Amino acid sequence: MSFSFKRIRRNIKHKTMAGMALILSVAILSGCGKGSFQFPKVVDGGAVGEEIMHVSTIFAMDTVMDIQVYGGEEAEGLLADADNQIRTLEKELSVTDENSEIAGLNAAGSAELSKEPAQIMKEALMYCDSTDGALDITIYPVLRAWGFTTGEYQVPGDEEIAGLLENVDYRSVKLEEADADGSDDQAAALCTIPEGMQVDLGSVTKGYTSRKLAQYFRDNGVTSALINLGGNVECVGNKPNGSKWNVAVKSPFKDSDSGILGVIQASDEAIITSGGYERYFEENGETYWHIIDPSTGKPARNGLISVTIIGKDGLMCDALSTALFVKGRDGAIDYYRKYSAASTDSSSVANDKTANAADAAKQESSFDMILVTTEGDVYITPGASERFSLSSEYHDLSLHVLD
Amino acid sequence: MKFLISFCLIVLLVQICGDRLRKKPLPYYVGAVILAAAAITVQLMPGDIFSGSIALKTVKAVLSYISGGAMVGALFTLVMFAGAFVQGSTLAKKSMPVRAQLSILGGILAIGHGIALGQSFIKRLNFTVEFVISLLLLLVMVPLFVTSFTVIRKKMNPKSWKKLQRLAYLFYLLTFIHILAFEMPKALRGVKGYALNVFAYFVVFVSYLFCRIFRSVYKNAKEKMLRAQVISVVAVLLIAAAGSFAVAANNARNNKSEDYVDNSGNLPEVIVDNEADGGNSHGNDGEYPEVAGARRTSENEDAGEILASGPKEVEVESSESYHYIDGTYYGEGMGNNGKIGVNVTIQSGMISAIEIVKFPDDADYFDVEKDGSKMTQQMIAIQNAEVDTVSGATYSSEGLIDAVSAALKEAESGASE
Repeated sequence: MSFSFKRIRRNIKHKTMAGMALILSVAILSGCGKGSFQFPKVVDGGAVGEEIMHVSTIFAMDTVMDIQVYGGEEAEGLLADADNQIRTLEKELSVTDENSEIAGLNAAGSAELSKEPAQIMKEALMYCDSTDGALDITIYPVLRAWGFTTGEYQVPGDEEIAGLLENVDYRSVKLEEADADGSDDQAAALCTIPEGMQVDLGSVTKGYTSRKLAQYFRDNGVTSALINLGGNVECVGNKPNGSKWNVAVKSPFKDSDSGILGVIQASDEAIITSGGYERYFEENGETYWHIIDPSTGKPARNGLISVTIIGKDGLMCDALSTALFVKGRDGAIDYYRKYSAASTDSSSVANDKTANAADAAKQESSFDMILVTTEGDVYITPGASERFSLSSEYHDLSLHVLD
Repeated sequence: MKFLISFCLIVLLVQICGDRLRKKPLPYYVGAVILAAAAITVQLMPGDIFSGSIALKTVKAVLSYISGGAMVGALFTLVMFAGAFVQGSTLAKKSMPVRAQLSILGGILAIGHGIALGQSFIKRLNFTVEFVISLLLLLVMVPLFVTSFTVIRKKMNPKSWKKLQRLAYLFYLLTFIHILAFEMPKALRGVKGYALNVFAYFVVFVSYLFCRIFRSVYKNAKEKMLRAQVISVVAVLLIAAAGSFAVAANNARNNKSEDYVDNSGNLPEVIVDNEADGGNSHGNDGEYPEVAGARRTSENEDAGEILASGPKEVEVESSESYHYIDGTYYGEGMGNNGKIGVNVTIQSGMISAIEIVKFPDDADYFDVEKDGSKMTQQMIAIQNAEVDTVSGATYSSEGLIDAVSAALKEAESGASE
């Protein structure tokens, strides 16, 4: 073999350029496939600038959060802002982050709360009250004793529980609101708790967050969005094609084939499900889950395995999904009749031409629910029964529509 | 891939601006410093700033070639090969004159790369083996870098200068080790794409080794030299190709590899069975449901065999900096029924897929065969039901959260491609 350098040299310049350019373009194109040049994520597939579904997934508040916003370019910015809002709330409220306002409150026994934490605290206490303590934001030490906060599960002794329960009482939480002057920087309220008490707003934080994000999207012209914060669902408007969102309710049954209890069609509302199956451990043949009954200090065993609350207010749905689980079937139905049934009757609202503030407020507090008992019975409120269908796997469950 | 693109760009640069680079390198150095500073700045900023516009995203993507080290590697590779090409050959004639300048450019960008990625290690006091190797590399580079400048070189005795520059061999070897330290763990876990990277680097570095050896051996027999070099490079390529096929076949057999899911915007999925659905998983009118339960990737009873990087420390609070670097990361957590291991894929700084690769091995509670196929069934049912989302804590299983959290911790400081 003989190589002639002269011959090669003549062509090398052009060949090199062409060769490199070729390799470069191939590399870049194949790089696109791998996602190294990925830009806004697209579900419906379309050119940038068109209205498409933008997706954001982050890990926050101890869970995976997924947000979809339908819109043009600006949706990306909205999503980025939404992520920030989630982070900020997490920093303010996280009971495990020592720099949070709540952690400060727990450490010092009193703290000035800024606007949002104060608002959330106020509303949470309202639900503690209306549910007669079935929801109690001071249950945290008990939750910790069971190991649900660290993963080191254990069954605490009865004496230990009794001792801890002495510091569980939402009524001892004092919240003094400052004179509202509209400024976001000033403390909105002074909160005081007795020694030994620990507050955790975890049972309502995600609900508040989804409510806030949904409103933020609406305020910015979004007409179609779907938010799922670790299982807490809230939707804005309908799907881009105009039909309602298909929101599945997770099956609480361990042996479920499809994993879905049923599907509810939702529009502009929050759907939040709580159940013992979410977080639990087993010891000596018994199952212990993370929804604690504040009156006993032990996992709530009042006949329900899953509670789904559907309503306009994410925080309310979040709070009630826990509280009504603790209350049990009869307690939940009583609560529903007292606080919601009156205004759920759509015909009465539609015909009422003189809708006043009281009615409006009642509509805000109205909700629908789906309960699943340990026996496998499903109870559903009339407002939801029309748009809920059991999955084929459970088609033969007895579905009771409340009146 | 980034390495290849960078290399092509460098060659183009030398072709087009070689003369200017040689005669008046200063503007190029200044340009490199600016790029390095930009790369560092970008790394220090929270990820969401860039999701606002295409322009910003492009900037970030481009700068990742520097922060990730691809451009650095490409520069030094050309520098090293310049000294291995047959003397007087066209390749040598093009690259030798700018060798010093390319080294300086490489050094500047290397410092940028080191700071850009190193800062997260330092911030977290994460002094791993890879970090130490990187430090070593930087240390060896300093004398080489400094003496590459003509001003300094002129002050030195030519013989001593040459001797010092021999450190370059050590430097290049350490570079190879440095790259492997970051790529190998993922390649071994069967993450697709990483094995390919490892083989590509193998080809580059081992080819260099042979070319350099033959350059010395056949010092005065240029034709023999060239022949030997070409043959060895071809041989290395063939070996690497064979090796990667073998690994790919092995992975396919064990179902160990997971696909780089080309999401094109789909919602994060929790495992898609590798072959199973085939078209199904992506074919739902573009509406991609979120998943309630998890689905595992294979019927592999030895799921526990997946090489793990070891149990990570798990914290309940979320990480404050969520700046995730693209890639796939592994994490473990303690589940309700045992240890659970996940691979979390990050694309464009966001989670694009979560896959369970290690299952609780307590047979009493979790039957890998039965429960695993049940999870698969559930996934299919959800997709077929055209469900948009599922209410009721999707990832609440504590082990899964902890595992994902652990994986994401790694994603914060993971070396990019």
